[in-house]
Amino acid sequence: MAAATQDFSFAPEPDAMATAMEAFSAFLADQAVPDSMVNRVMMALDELLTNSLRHTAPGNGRRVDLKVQVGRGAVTVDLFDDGPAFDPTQVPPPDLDLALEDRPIGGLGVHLVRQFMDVFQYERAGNRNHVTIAKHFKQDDP
Amino acid sequence: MTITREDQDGKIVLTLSGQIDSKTAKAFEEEINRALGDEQSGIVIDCADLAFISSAGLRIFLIAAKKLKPRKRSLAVCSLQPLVADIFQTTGLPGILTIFLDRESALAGG
Repeated sequence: MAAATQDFSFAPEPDAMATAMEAFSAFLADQAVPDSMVNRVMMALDELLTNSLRHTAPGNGRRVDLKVQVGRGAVTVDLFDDGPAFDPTQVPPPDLDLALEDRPIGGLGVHLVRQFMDVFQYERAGNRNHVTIAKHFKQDDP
Repeated sequence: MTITREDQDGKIVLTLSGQIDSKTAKAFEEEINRALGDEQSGIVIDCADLAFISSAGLRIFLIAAKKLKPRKRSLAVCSLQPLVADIFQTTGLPGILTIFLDRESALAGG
């Protein structure tokens, strides 16, 4: 099967992000990506896009761009934003052994991406952040 | 995402379905806060129909657990689908929340 690709581009705002994520999810389903993999990729994307929106002020033509490819048993997503340079792959892992009282309520998002994706890479591409995630799947995954 | 609330066996049961992500977490937080405001009851969160949860939702579980502990009220979570169970495990939540296989055991033990 040839790889299927689709691009999504939106302003760095929550409503635009939600609309893009719905279209993105529908695209994966159309490509017969198993539900469990769609859910994993959607979770990772929610983490990364939430970070992008936090760091990218709307306006001045700033955009978030997603390029998704489904083929050869994998979903690959390239995510670009116009925010200041930020490498999420360098975020230190959380300390999961802390007692409830001492545990911070944040800092779990990047950890989830790292644990649930097979590929998690970053580069600064010109004035843009470029994050790549990929996840392999088998067609008979649930 | 939908949340339904029932009062069962003297406990508040919140049933989550769909996904809890950055968009839907706010509604979950509001429902949890309403349940926290009811001083008497333990809380059971039934995740049987929860497809996935991102850190925006995990954060709310942590906040709820932190608020309930000093008040000696229970927070039980039950019926996790495999992916949600993996997410909880990966983020160390089983050490913080009490997780049950199904709603009956959560109501009995939570």
